[in-house]
Order: sequence, then C-alpha cells, then structure tokens
Amino acid sequence: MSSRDLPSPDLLDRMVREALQAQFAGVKPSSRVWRRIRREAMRCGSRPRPRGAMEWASALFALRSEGPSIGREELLLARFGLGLFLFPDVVTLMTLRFGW
Amino acid sequence: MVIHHPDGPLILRLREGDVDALGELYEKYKASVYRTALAITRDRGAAEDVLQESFLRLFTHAHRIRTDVPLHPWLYRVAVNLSYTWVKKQQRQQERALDGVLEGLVASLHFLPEQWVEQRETQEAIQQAVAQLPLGHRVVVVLFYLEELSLKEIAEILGIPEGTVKSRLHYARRFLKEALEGRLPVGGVVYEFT
Repeated sequence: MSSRDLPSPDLLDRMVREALQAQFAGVKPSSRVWRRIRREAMRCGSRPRPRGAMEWASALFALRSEGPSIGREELLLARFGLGLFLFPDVVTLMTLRFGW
Repeated sequence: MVIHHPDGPLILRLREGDVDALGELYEKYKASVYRTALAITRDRGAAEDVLQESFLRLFTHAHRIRTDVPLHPWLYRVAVNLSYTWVKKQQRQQERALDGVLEGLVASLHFLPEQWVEQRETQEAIQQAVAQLPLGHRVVVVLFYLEELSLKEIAEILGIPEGTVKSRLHYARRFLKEALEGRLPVGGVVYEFT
C-alpha cells in the first residue's frame, strides 16, 4: 500500500465531503432532546456533588433533614449517623475499649 | 497552575451540578455530536438518544473530565462509542431480519436536502457507498470528511494508532473510488480518480 495507490485527493475527497455535508450538515436534533436531558440532569443530581468527607457528611445530613415531617428523634439519629461518619476512629476506639 | 480551556469553567460548573452550564455546552456541541451520531447510525431516533446519553454522561462524569484540554474529543468519543454499540445491535437484529440493505437505501434518500437534487445521483452513489463501508471505516470517513478532524484527532478519539486511521481512510477511499467508477459516468461526466 503506497501513496501512489491513493486516488487524487482533490476530486474524490471533495465529492465525498460534499455528499456527506449535503446529507448531514443541516441536520438538527429536535428541541425535545434538550428538554429530556435537562429533566434527567435535574433528576439525577442538580445538587452539588460532594467531594470530601465533610461535604459527603453534610450532604447525607441534608438528605436526612429534607423529609416532610422530620422529628426530634430522627434528627438525633441523623446527628449520631453523622458523628459515626465523621469520627469513625473515635467510635472504633470506644467500641473496642468498652467491648474489651 | 492549571490553565483552563475555554470550556474549563463550564466543566467546573457542571461539577457543582449547574444544569445551565450543561445547557451552554449543549448549545455549543449539539450539532456536531448529533451529526456524527446520525452519520454513523443513519437513524434520527438513535442519533437523538446518543446525543442525550452523551450529554447526560458529560453531566454525571464532569468530575473526571479535564478542564485544561478541549472538550469536543471527549464528546466525540462517547458519541462514537454509543453509536457503534447501537449499530452493532442493529446489525445483529438485521442479520436476523435480512432487511438491512433496504433500510440503508431508504435512510440515505430520506436525508437529502432539496437544494442538492441536481447532484442527487452522484451524491446518492457516494452516500450509499459510505453506508456500505465496514463500520470502523465509516466512522473514520465521517470524522474526517464530515467533521473535518485531523488524523491525529481521530486517532485520539477512537483510541487507535494514527497509522490505523490512515489505512482505514486509504481503504475507504479505494472502496469509494471503485464504487463510483462502477456507477459513473453520471450526467455525461466521466470521473477519473487516478
């Protein structure tokens, strides 16, 4: 296979380019595509994505406290869960010490 | 110090869940992504699905996307891969139904804009020949001729060596040349590609 085997690029390339552009250059997606994308994006997470442990913890807490009728007990449980998440070493140490 | 590509700030906003930033990127790249998907799949519904999935992946994978390089190679790569998957699935179904050729011909006629009617025969011949190329070669032809990307860019998008892109293009040109020479002359004009 050498460059001598290639057809003259000028005519063939121009014809192929024109044929493909005539076929596809003006095509546009329907407007409903963006509406679907937007709806899905909103659904799958328009809230900021947590990066560090602190952000994950606050995100979890935010999720917990978004309930329609959150009570004091739930709040305490949520805070306890947050504590477990934020200070796993302390909890592990306490568990080992008391368990021992 | 990280030097952001012009799309970089928008990607940073995507990471914060900013749907408006996604909208700005969609407006910028929707045409090229949709066109590429349509040229590969030859199916409007499939191309719209590919477009949708590409931008949803952009949104959900924004934290993995570099902000210091152009975004469009990443989008092309996702769109090409999704289109590839769709075509392969269709091919398997068509092999069972034995109606792939007819659908391809109908699709190629369907997308011809009216202003090109005078050159329809030649362009139809080229479009049908492109449609008959093996998928891997067709993708290279679409990215090279329709999207006017360089061999290097195509190699990066497809994750193959530049030499492979060159050889696929060479094969495609030879295939198209033979296909056209078999059909021509059209309208009294004889084309010679030597």
